[in-house]
Formats: sequence, C-alpha cells, structure tokens
Amino acid sequence: MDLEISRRNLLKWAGFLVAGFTLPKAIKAKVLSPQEKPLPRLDSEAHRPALCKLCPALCMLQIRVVNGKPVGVSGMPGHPLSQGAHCPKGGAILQDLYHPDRLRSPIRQRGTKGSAQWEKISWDQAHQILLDKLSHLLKRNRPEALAILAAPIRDIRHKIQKRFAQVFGTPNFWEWNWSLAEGPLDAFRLMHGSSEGLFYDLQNASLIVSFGWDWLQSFPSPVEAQRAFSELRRARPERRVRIVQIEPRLSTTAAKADEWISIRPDTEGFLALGVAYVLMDDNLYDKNFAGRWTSGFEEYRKMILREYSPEKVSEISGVKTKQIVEIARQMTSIKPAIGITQRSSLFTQIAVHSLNALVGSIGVRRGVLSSEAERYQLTLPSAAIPKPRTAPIASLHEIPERILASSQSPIELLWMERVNPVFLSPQGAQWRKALERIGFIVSFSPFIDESSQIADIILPPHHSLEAWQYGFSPTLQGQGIISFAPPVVSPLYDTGDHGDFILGLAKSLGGRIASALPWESFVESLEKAVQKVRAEEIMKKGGWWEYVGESSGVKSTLKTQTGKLALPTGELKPKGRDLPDASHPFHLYIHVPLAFSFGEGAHLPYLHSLAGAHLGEQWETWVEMHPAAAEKLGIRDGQMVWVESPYGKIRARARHYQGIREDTVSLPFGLGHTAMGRYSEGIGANPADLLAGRTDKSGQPIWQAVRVKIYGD
Amino acid sequence: MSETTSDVEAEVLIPLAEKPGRGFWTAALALSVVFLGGILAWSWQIKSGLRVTGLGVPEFWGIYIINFVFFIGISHAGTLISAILRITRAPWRRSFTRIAEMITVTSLPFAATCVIVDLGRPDRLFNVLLYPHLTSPILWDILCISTYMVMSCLYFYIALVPDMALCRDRLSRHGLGMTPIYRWLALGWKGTVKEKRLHHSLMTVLSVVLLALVISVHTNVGFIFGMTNKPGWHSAAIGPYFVIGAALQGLGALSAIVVAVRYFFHLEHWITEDHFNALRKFFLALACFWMYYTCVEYLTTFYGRHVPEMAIFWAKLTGPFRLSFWAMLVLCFCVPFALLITRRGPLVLKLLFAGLSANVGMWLERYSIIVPPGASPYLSWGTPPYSPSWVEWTITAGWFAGFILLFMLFTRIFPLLTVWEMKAPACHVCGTVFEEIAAEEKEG
Amino acid sequence: MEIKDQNRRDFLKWFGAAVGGVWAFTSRAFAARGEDEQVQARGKHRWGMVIDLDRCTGCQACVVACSVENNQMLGGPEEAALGRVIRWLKILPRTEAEGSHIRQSLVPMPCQQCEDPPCTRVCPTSATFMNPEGIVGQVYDRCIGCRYCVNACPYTCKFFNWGEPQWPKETQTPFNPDVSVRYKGVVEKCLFCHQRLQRAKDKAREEGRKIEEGDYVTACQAACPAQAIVFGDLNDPESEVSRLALSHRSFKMLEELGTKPKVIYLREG
Repeated sequence: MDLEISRRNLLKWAGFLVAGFTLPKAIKAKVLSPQEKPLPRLDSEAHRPALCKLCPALCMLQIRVVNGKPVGVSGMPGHPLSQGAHCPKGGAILQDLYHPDRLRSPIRQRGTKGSAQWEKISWDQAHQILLDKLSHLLKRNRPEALAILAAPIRDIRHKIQKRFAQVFGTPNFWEWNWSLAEGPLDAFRLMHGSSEGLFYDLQNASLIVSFGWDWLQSFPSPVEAQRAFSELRRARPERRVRIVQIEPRLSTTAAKADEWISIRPDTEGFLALGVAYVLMDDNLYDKNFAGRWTSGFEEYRKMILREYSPEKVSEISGVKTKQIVEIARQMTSIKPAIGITQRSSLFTQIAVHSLNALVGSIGVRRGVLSSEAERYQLTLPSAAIPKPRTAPIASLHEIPERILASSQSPIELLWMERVNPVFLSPQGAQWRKALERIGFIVSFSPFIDESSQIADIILPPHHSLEAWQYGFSPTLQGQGIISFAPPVVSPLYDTGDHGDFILGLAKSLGGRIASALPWESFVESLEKAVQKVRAEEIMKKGGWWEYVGESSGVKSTLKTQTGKLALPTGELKPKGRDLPDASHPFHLYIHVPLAFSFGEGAHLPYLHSLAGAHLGEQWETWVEMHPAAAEKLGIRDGQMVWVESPYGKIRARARHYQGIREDTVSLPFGLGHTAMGRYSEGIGANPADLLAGRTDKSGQPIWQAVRVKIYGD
Repeated sequence: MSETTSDVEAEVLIPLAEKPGRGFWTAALALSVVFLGGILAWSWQIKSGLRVTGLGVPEFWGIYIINFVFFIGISHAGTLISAILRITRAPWRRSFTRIAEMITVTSLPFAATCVIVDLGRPDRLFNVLLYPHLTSPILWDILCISTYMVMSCLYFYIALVPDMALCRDRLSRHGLGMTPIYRWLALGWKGTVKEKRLHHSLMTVLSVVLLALVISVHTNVGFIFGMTNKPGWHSAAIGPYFVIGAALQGLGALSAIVVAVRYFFHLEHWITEDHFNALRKFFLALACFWMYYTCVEYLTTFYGRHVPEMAIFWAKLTGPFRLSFWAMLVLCFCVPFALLITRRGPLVLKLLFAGLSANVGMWLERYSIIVPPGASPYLSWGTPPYSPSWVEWTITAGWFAGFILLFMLFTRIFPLLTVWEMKAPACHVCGTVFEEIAAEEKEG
Repeated sequence: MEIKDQNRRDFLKWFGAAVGGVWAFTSRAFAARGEDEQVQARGKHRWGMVIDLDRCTGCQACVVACSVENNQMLGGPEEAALGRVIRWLKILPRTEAEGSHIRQSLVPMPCQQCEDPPCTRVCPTSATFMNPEGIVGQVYDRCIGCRYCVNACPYTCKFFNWGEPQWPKETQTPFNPDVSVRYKGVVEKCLFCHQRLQRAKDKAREEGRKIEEGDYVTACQAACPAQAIVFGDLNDPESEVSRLALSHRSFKMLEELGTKPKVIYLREG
C-alpha cells in the first residue's frame, strides 16, 4: 500500500497531528484544571480581640472583621487560656451574635404571667418600671424582698450587680452554678476549710483516675481540658501519662483514656472507699501525710475497714474486686496520682478526695494545688457597704423549695441575669412553679428562654461582641488572667448594657445606693478599677495580663482552723439509694456533650451537629442502650421509644451502644427546649423531666439517681 | 402457513385502519393521567431539589438509577431479537421483530430521561459536552446511549420503510389522514430488486453495528458501577452480568408484550405456538445463563472474604435486603425456569407470567446491586434506611405509564408485524430473504 | 473487484488515522498523573495534614471552625434524619468490641486529599479536579449533581446539597466573603481552606517573599485546642508535617485502596 504524497494528503495528515496534539492540551488546560477565581478584594480587614462569654471560662477570641462585619473566629494567640485555639462553642459565637431570634428590644408581658403575649417597651420605660418597684420595696422597708440571680461570669458588671444588692440591703444574691462542670468544691470546703483557689494540677499529672467525671466534655474551662489532655499524651516524650476513667458509660473521656472501668451510676464514692480500704489494708497509704496533716484519720480508717471491703464495694458498684485492687496498686506505684471527681453527691466528693490524702497528693505538684490568683481580680473602688439585716432565704438550689413551702413568696421582685433555671436545673418543674409565685420578675436575657417566659419584662443585654468586656479567669496553671476587649461591632439591635442599666437605677434611687455606685457608665467603673492597677493601655486596645498565683506546699492548701485536712467521717454515711425496682429496670445516667456544656448551646445550629458524633446522632435526643439489653426488650436500633421514670417520661430515639452498661441507659443533656428560638425549640427532649428534683447534702441537685423503664409505642 | 400474503397485509393493517375502541381511549387516558402525575412530580422535584426524595447519606443513588438500568434493559428486547436473530437467520424471529424494535424505540427515551431526573442540576446537562472528561464512565455512557438511540431509531425505521410503502398503498382508501405521513416515511419505496438489495445490506450492517452497541451500552451501564472502588460494585463481571441481565429482561418484556399484543389484536394466526416455543427455549437459556453469572458473582465474593464486600453479601443474603435478594432469585430464575422447562401446559400464559416475573425480578436485581452497596460504604456515618419517597414512586409510575402509552400509540401507527419479512417464502427451516432476492434477480 | 480493493485501502488509511488521532488525544488527555508528578519534581508545594489521634480529644472545635470558615449549611432535624447535614470535617466514630473489652476511636475526617483521587476520575465534567499543588477542588458552577464522585469516594467525604440551604437573613451577615455559598443540586467538599492559601500567597507576594511555613493555616488546625492537627508542605522535607508523616505511628485511611491520601494520621499510644 503506497500512500499518495499529495498536498491534500499532507495537509490532511498535518491537520490530524496538530489537532491530535494541541486539542488535548487546550482541553486539558480549559477543562481539566479550571481556573481558580481570584478572591474578592477586601476594603478593610482586621482581627479584633473579643471575650467569649458563652461559658464562665472567658477565653479570648480573635474576630476577623471584614468591611465592618465580623466574619471569622479564631483563638487569641498567646492568651494563656486560649493559646490561639477555641472550643466548639467559642467557634460558634457568631451564630449567637447573629441568631435570628435574638430579642431586638425590651419587652413586657401584656397578659398574665406566661401568657406569651409580649409588647415592645423602651429602655426608659423599663427603667421607670423597675425604679417604681424598687422604690416601693424601699418605702416598705423590705429590701430583702428583692432577689438577684446572676450568671457566674466574673466581670465588673457582676460586681456592680452584687454591690447593688448589698447597698440595696438584700442578702438574696445568688450566683448560678452548674455542678457537672465543677470540681468537688463542697469536699474542698469541708476538708480544706475553703475551696477558693484549689485546683487539680491536671496538666502535669502522672496518673489521673477520674471517678465519674467526663472531664474532657464537662470542665470549668473546656479549652484547657483539651490542651491538658494533649500535653499529658505527647508533650513529654519520655512518658505518656496514664489516664483511667471510671464511668457507667464509654464517654469521650473514657474512649480517650487508657482504661475504662464501667461502674453502676452514682456509686463512684463507694469505689473510692473500696480503694481506700485496699490502701489501708495493705499499708500502702502515705502514713507521713496521714499522720501529720489530717484530722480524724483514725476514725476514718476504722470506718473504712469496717464498712467498705472490696467485696462489698464490688457488689454495690459492679466493679470487680480485682479491679479495685488494681486501681489501688496503680495509685501507689505511679506517684503522685490524683483521683478527680466533679461536684456530685457530697459522699462521692469526700470519698474521692480522701483518696488524694491517702496517696499524699495534696499540696504537691501533679496533685492538688492551691492558687492565690483569685485575689488579683479587679475590684470596684471601695464604698460603705452595710451589713445585711438577714441571712439569704435559702441556698441556690433550695430556692424553689423554700418559695413553694411558704404561703406567700418571700421574694417579691426577682432579677435574673442570663440564667435559665427552668431549663437547666433538674428541679426545672419546681423552679417554674416557684417563679410563677413571685410578684414581679425581670430577666436580662438575649432570648425568650424558658425562665424568661415567666418573667414580666425581658431586657436584652448587648452581646459580648457588642460591648466592652472584662473578665477574670483562673487557669489550670494556677494563674489569674485578666482580659479586656473593646466592642467588636456596635450593637445590632436596641439592646442595653446591663451594667449601665443598674448604675442608672442606682443613680435614680439616690442616697446610699447612688453614692456606692457613683459612675455614669459601666465603662467608667471599669476604667476606675483599671487605674488602680495601671493598665489603661491594655484596656483600651484589648489584651490581657496574668498573675502567677500557684504555690505548692501542703500548708497553703489548708485553711481549716486546725491547719489540718479534715476527714469528715460523719459525712461519709451514704445517702439512701434507689433499691432495685422491677418496674424501672434501668439506671439513668445523664451525660452532657461538650457542645452543650453547662447545659447551654442548643440554640446554635453548628453545635447540634457535634452532640452525638460517636453514634452519628444530631438534632434529636437519643437514649443509649446496650444492644443485649435492647434486644431483650425487642427494641431496635433507631426506634423511637419512651423513657419513663417515676417522675415523668420523654421520647427519644433508642440507639444501641456497646459503650454502656447493660443495667444502665444514658441520655444527653442540653436538648428539649420549649423556647429559645427556632434552632432549639421543640428539638429533642429534656432528661431533667425524668428527675426527682431533689438536692444532695452538698446543696447541689442530684442528677444520677433515678431509675427508668423503656418501651416502644 | 396456508394464508396468502394478502391475508397478512389485511390483518396486520387492521389496527391501523380501524378507529380505536373505547378500551383503547380509556387506557390511554388513564396512562396519560399517571404520566402527567410523573411530570408534575418531577417539576416539584426540580423546584425543591432532590431533598424530596428518600435519598441521603450514604444512599446517594436510588430508584431513578434503578429505573434507568431497567428501561435500558427493556430496550434490549428489540435489538436482541431482531439483530441477533437476523444475523443468525432464525426464522421464528419474523413474528416478533417489529414489536421488539418498537419496544426499544419507545423505552429508550424513558431510560435517558431517568438519568436526567436523577441529576441535581438537570439544567446543566450539557456541561457534559462542554467540559467532557474522558475518564468518566458517565461520559462513555452518554456517548453509547445516544449512539444506541440514534441507531435503534434508524434500524426501526429502515425495517419499516417497505411496510410504510404498504401502508401508503393500502391505507389510502381509509382516509385516516395518515397517508401523507406514510407516503413521506416510505421514501418512494417501490419494492424493486435494487431497493431490496440495498435494504437487505443496510439491515445486515445495522444488525451488526447494533449488536456491538447493545453489548457496549449495557457493559457501560455496568461500568458506571464497576469503575468505582465501592465494595459491591467494583467487579470485573459486572459488565457482562449487566448484558446478560438486560437480555433476559428484554426477552421477558418481549414475551409479555407479544402475548398481550397478540391477544388484543388477534394475531394468533401469525404468532403461533411454534414461535412461542422457540421464544421459550431462548428465554430458558438466558435465565440459566443469568443464574450462572449470579452464582459466579456471589461465589467469588464469598470466597474473597473481603470484609466490606462480605458486609454487603450478608446484608443481601440474610440482612435487611434479604427480601429483595431472594425475591430476585425466585422471580428471575426459579419462576421462569419452572414455567418454561417443558412445553406442556398453556404455553402462552406461561410465557406471559415468566416474562412479567423476569421483569419484576430484574428490577429487584438492580435494586440489590445499587442499594445495599450504597448503604455500606467503606467508611460509614450511620445508615438511615433508604425508602423511596412519594415523589420517586410517582415519577417511576409516570415513566412506566409513559412507556406503555407511547407503545400503545405506536401499535396504532405502525404495522405490528414485519410484513415484508413475512411475505418472504415461508420456510420453517431456513427462510431467508436471500432466496427471494435471488429468485427475483433470476427473473430480472 | 478492484473497487473493493480501493475500499479496503481507504478503510485502512482512515482507520489508521482515526486510531492515531484517538491515541494522541487520549494519551494527553489521560496524562493527568504524569503532569502532577512533574509538578512535584519541580519542587512546588504539596499540601498535607497530619492528625495526631493521641492528642485529639474528640472535642470537635475543628468541626465548628470548619463550618464557620466555609459557610456550611446550618442543618436541622429533617436534614439530620436523612444524613443530609453537610460538614466537610466530621468525626468518624468506630466502636469495636472484643468480649468485654470495648474500644472506641473518634477520628476527625476531612477530605483525605488523595494523590490519586477516585472522585476526580469519574466526574463527567471535571467539576472536581486536582490542582497543581495537590488540592482536590470542586467547581460548583460546573457540577451537574450526578453524585458519581460522592459514590466513588471511599471515605464518604463529598457532600451533596439535597435542597436549597436555608439561611435566615441575619445568619447571612457573618458569611466568610472568601468562600462562595453553595446552592441546591451541587456537590461540595473540604478544599484544605484553599481561600486561605490564596490569601497567604497574595500576602507573601505583597511582601515580596515566598510562602513560608505557618503562612497557610487551615481553620481546623488553627482552632484545635489539643494541637492535634498539623498542616504544611509535604514537599518540604523540613516542614513539621513532613517530619510527623514519617513517624512510626503514622498511617493513612484505607491505604490499601491506593488512593494515597495526603491526610496522615498518627496512631494512639
């Protein structure tokens, strides 16, 4: 076959070749690697400091502001708490700022309490209404009928509020607290004389045995907990710290720990004392510490050896005797070991903390330390404060009981600042009834939440990005951090500064009250407080400084009169436990996902996606059941079921989870709002509805002592 | 076969000449309503996005894709019978070829639109041609199917030309208004030897091309799944398995439709038990062949013990998909096999049931291929069970109604039998057109 | 029979030309791999990530940071019920039980940014592609929503917008201006915060220098309180990410599939 060499053929072949080689290249350039679009030009871009007030930790954030709008969040580099990072909640702060259901102005209940008929009022009107109520109380010489329930946020506004209560003459000032994210403060107080400044030296620990505290998810300062864990794992190449988690459920902390010991809910105290028994029986405890620094040791020892043999403890807690011995061995061979627990029942708190005394971990690095940092908080210039005439009507969690017990509420005017006890407390139902009996309620809240629904007026405060911020936070290193941030954006709506509002009221009330709170605005008072420490520059630009307050030595931790650590054997009588009950076969264990730490966060859509990541659960309430237990009841994975306790029932999706005991089921806390905007209202169920609403001897509500049954439709 | 050619012509043209009865109109109306419902459901889906389906993570493809594969499978009826049998000169094909080709032409538009229905952005369909990416099996598929569609239409039409001429000549008296169209479609066919020779060679070439296309189309449909690394999809056998499955289904569809057409249009003279018997044997062979492939596929998976593959294997055999899996086996193989293994009994009825059974079975086969692997990818974020939404079912019903409707209309426009082929000297053993042409050549 | 011969010759000629043309065309069009390797050889960047599971606490600050940075949909109960909430980075949970011993791992999973991505191969429109620095991109305006890439991804790390994402007016204000907001019917995925790379490059260019380690930081890395995420240039042997990638604890997800992920995990323990 000979090809004719003609011009035509040549052109034809050349055409083929050119097309064959250039076309693909052109196509590849155009088609296979699309051009990257250049980013939009930004007229202005800045990174502004901000304080996150979504939880009491008060981390410092950096907000990316483009063309005057906040559009991005990161942690503030160098800030001792944040160190450039943030927790999930902090990351979602812009959703809080731009929540479509934020209140846009003060509102007043038009109908009867709880009628949900609201009308707009001005801040001046709100001022006048409150002024009338307060003057009326003063006129009747009943200042103690005013009560203030404040958020546990350490800033100058909080101090203004507290001083207002003091000079007004009411002892009824409470700070909200969330016991599941707190250390054993009651045990600290009883045993050390004061809980102030005591902290676990987690970041440097050698062995952490957590008795029921899901500390990676519930911690006073979530960012620090995550960082501490990371440091424990890899910061020191020579050793990887051992972490033991004792919990009824394979929580995130348990999953990340080296060992998970499954235990019956609310029996961690027994286990701790079982370990104490082994320590004393085998003579493994720190005799030096016990002899020199404790009081009541002999009594304690006798009681333990009499009551808490490992066999008995094993029977109660469901933990094998071998494991109890093993924990004791570990706690003496790895020194110093710390046993940690959250603010659960007083019994558990004391039991666990007494272990720290037995292994000599108190007042030593890597154990329990004390810090002086608290006293570096900014203070208001001093003023004459009268002594209260009476004592507070009750402690925080006993308020509803106290109000419901009396025929007429001792509180006539309640002032709530960013707290939502009706939703957040296991005694929610009692709180609701109690609030309904109070004459007049003012709520400072950015949303109409469950408690504000019962209020008479709701005053929306500025968002933390809309106003000057100051905050004080102690760290896990024992430092005290003072942080400032100027407003990032001007207020979006007709909101007010609650500090300014109180100062305005004080001024109008006049007299002693006005002279104790003489400033025009909250910022002025802040400036005054800052002048004392000569930090005006930092305040203006936003920034922080830190005080080192950590001190080791046993002595510094002990503030009892005897100067010794008290071992209050009397308090170690275990409270009554629910007996096995055939009609309610399961223990209920309530856990709090980090997304909803402190019980809050369900109003932010991004946080919903995190809550049940271990099961792929989001935007609903699920109940974790062991597959074997579920199969016995014929409950399928993913089926909707009822969870019923003697006190109530809720609906949840049953999820088979191998990380839960067969005799226990677990529900997450944080969902099930009946108010608070479109992203939380009507989504999921609130497990607090299942609880008895009782308080422990510690004064804290009881979370984990209820039994439930589960059934399908 | 004592009937004369004029009998064939007369009887075959009856449906075209007669005004359709009430039954036809009622059926057409009902089908139109269902089809319209499907179109409305699709409009609703276009407006709201695919969130109106039951799909989600990790079940990304659902019954739209099943229907796509299903309609492509039905379309195999025509090509298979007429192309393969024409090439192999099987004489019994003659009674079926036209109906078979009609099925192909009427089902393909619905197959193609199923894919468009499944797209998140149907408006951007042409991006596939604007930014073609050669390594994507979807691109191959689009090329294959569009070629297949064009060629099938051409094949159908060329086989139709002599019959169009017949209609032009014989139906002019009836005056139904179709005559100009017939005249136009007949392309001035006179039936000369030259024309016949050209016609014959065109048909032969097209048969061969179509045969190749039919294999490539269904192999490519299989490739869409086989070319991913998804457990349960990634298999070398999936291409041929799809071809065999489609052949089985196509033959099933043909059997059922031929029985129905024969009943409605009284073609008992021309489609006889002998024809059906030949169909039966072919059907039986394909069912066995399909079963063989199924065994090969599952046995290989079972012996591989690849963990993610085994999860799907057990999910099909004993897990949540067991119902569809075992129903598939029964309907695709057991029922047709039991019905067709002997000639005894009511053959026509048996073929009808076997055909329907194979079709339902093959729909379930596609379900078993697409849905269970979708539910368990390598890394999974929980598996909410997939249940198609009302929108998906409505569109499915609409598309099936549309297919039947279009086929019904075709039966009233085009002759149901290939008259020119039937007219050829009928020889049970080796009746080919060649002899006729040769004879005429001799005469000429 | 001369005519026939002529036909055959013609046929062969045309056939040869066609085969040659197709070969030339395909050999270049399919040569995506070769060119990328050339890019690596030329010493350009190849971005990668190391996630240390021993440091990771499963807190999911990264998940939120990623959502905020990339304007990800808000989600809701209806979407959640069908697994339609889009999070480019999410936790892959695995609970394994052996007798009474139960282990659970919580693995943060962004797009694994494969060197040989199964998703780009199957895309009919090149809407998903790999850029010269190894980032697997997605062109929303080109995507036809066939979800083939989603099916092809063994990590299930590509996401389809089943409906129009709902953004109440207020929630649109804090949109990141550097990231386009997606709409119904298209697929989206983690792009290693590609917009941050562009900004970092612009900044480096303004300052008249080359891009350095630490200029380009992804949102998830920045947020991580446990410092479990390290990001950088795998082509730079001095970078921390390269150093960590060589750790004895390192592994890749589904390595056996040959996708060559550029997200590298470090084992616990």
